[in-house]
Amino acid sequence: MAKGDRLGELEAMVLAAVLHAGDDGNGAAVYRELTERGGRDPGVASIHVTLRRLQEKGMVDSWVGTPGPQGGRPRRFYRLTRRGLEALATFRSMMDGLFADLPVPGAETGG
Amino acid sequence: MTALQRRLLRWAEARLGLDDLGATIDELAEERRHRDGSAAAARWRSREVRRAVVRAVFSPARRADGRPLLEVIGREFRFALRRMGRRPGHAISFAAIVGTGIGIAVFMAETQADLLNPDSGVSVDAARVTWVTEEGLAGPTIPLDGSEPWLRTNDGSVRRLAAIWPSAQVIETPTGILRVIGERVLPGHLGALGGRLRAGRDLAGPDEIVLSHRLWTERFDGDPSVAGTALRVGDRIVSIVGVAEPGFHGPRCCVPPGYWEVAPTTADPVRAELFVVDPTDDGAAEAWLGRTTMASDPPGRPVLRHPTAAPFGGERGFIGRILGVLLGLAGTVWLTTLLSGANLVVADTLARREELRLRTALGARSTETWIRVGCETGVLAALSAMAALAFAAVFAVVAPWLFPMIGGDTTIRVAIGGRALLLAAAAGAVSALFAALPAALVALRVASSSRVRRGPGDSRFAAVGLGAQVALAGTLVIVTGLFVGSLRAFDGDFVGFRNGDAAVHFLTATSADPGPAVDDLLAAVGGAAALTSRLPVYGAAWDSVSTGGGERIEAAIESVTPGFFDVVGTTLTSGEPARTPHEAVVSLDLAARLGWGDGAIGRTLLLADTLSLRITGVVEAATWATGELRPSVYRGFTETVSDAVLLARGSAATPSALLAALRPLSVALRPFETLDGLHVRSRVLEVFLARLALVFGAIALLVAVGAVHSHFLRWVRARERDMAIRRALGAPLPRLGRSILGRALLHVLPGALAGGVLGIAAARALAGLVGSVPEVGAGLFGVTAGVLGVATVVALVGPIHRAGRIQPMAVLREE
Repeated sequence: MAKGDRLGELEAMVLAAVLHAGDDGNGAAVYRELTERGGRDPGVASIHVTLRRLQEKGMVDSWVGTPGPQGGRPRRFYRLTRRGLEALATFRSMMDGLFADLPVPGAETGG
Repeated sequence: MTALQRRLLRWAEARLGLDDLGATIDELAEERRHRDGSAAAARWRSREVRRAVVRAVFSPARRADGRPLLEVIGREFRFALRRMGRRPGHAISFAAIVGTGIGIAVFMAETQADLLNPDSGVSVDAARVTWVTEEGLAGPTIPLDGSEPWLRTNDGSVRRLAAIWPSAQVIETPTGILRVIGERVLPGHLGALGGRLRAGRDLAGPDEIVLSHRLWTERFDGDPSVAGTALRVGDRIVSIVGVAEPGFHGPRCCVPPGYWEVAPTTADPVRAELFVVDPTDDGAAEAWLGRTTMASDPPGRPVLRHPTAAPFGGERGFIGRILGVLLGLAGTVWLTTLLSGANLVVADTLARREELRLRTALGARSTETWIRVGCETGVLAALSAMAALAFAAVFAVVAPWLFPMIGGDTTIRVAIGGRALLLAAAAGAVSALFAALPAALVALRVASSSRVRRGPGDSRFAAVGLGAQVALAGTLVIVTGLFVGSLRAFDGDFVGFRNGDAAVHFLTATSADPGPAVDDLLAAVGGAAALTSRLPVYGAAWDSVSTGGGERIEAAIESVTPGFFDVVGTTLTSGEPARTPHEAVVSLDLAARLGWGDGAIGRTLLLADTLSLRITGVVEAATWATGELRPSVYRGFTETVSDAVLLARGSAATPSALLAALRPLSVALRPFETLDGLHVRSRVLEVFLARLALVFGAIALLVAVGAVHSHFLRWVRARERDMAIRRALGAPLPRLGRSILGRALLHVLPGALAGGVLGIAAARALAGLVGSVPEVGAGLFGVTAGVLGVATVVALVGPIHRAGRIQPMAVLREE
């Protein structure tokens, strides 16, 4: 795996959030997924900067949508590329391998 | 969201290279308002804006398309280089104009630094010598054999010492009789000062001399077999044993020696001029001298003298002011070229307005326009800085022509090195900023405006810049006229050897021949004229004076004719001039020190404990501006004409008539230097100023002419269609020419008027700094107007010619 394909924690979380957001995956949706499912709030700006970095790595694709009926500025939408999916899978298997058979206190108590 | 928050968010978006950060925050805030209420939503929004700003502050700047700013700048620089390659004429014009301005400024800054700071680049071909004492000062005898404690270094070795007993001698050379300065010196004198022999051997005993290289070439035709021949010096026959190398003349001031011989062992050290050769730096020499003076009190005033430190001698301060003025002039030239360069870039920007509009229509932001214009101007400025260095180097090569007062046996080199490189780089950066700013503003206006512009000549930036250039050129023409005028004024008022600001004196000579009668000589001069015994060859005469029984005071003694005070511009505060050798005028400070107060007149002053002088007058100050102790006692004239210095000021005779009257008298006196040589030397500073101002003024004028020419050439090109229609309708070429001329006058006239006002201000500033600068008169204004008018007409020849070549049918067919 190339160095650029490795993910940081926030990058992995943002990728997962984009995956959860599905076709409506604009910045706001990604933020919602990340805060509600991940329980973490890194800030809207940090999420956007991470999305742009992931796009430079070729893990996320983006396009500008059309403005809504009320007008306003056009929004940018995101989706995972194949490379992003592979990177996320690799990250998950790495974490699973790392935590396998490990008596993690939270896992025991919290289930 | 408040306006401030929105502005901060836009800034953060631009810096982070994001395009929908604000929209995301708006959407999420709206959700929160519905869910948690307005207050909570506002708090959340504030927090997110704050976090975005913090994130932006600590992130590298990026563009909207996500590329790092540096990458964008690099791409724009490559584009600018390609564009420069496609249009070399524009780049060469900019670099030549702005490079000239920067080059002049760099050269003058280097000259200023080098000439006034000896350790920073000026090389003077002379030994590093510390002047310790002067001839004629009272004090104990100094043993010259090295036993004097203050001649010893900390490790006990003896410092190299040069003791010189100068005297004026008549010698018989193959080309005639000549009066020269001969120096009696210690054995090994040349070696101690770092001098070498060009031919023959060094001095070994009495009645041997070594010729100076100048005397050898001028009077012995560089005869290689001169060593071993005999020569009559005064009433002695001596043997020439060697010739000094070119450029060596020793540490003494003013008149270079013609030969050297070994001083007899009986020579009195008190009468010698002593120089300690110190190869260390100035600071160390000064510190050493200070310690030594306190330790053993050597005689005389410990005057530090360093030939490498003061190539201008006692006029260093004056030269510093002059160089400051010239640095200002150079800065004005630079400003002129900057305006011209900015005009070029503005005109170029206007010419590509279609490209700029297209870029804007395709979504280019104003930042990108700034970057593009900035990069292009930066490349041009870098090219200008390189041209400036080349220009400064050329200027440094011709510096000896610009600094004629150095000349002679001394070589001045203005070093163009690392510091010049830094200066040129800094000036180039300022130039780039100066040129890019108006060009970018014009580019933004052109790119955003749908209004059809008629052409480059309509730009207000260009019009103002052109007027400013003409104004600066006019100012420099006036300043040049002032300097040339001061040269003429000086030529008309004075003859002789300039001495500071106050007066001019003409050195006749010392001679066994008594010369003409005092009255005959003064009558030949006409106007205010006087004689004084104070010979610059020997320095002032000092002696002790007292009232008879009280304290002895060291004072400068000078014997002068009654007209002396008028010539040097000082009036007696009381009494009248001394008319006999037994009378004297004293300075106010001396009268006060002797305790006479206001009652000096009629009292008796004892000179050197032997000679009684009756005081006839008191004078405030008769300043010679040489930096030496002010002369304090002025005796009635006692010398023969040939032993005196002739002072002439405000002579009624014209300079040429005065020279003609004095020439036969001075030839009879066998002077150290010819009268014509002295005349040339007396004007050397004024010639220097006039030459440099002339060079700067000519460059500023050329730049302004070039600017007017290129501006109206573009103007005509942009109006080819209009002019073609006018020609087709029967308008004759002279009418078109008049319209171009009229348009040009709209730009040139306000500039010329502003130049006149600036010129008057510059003249006042110069008069305060330099003195002897004439007032700006109607004549100078007329000359300036004429020069600017001719320059404008010359500059418009090309554009009018271009208008005349317009073929109406061809242009309209293309339409």
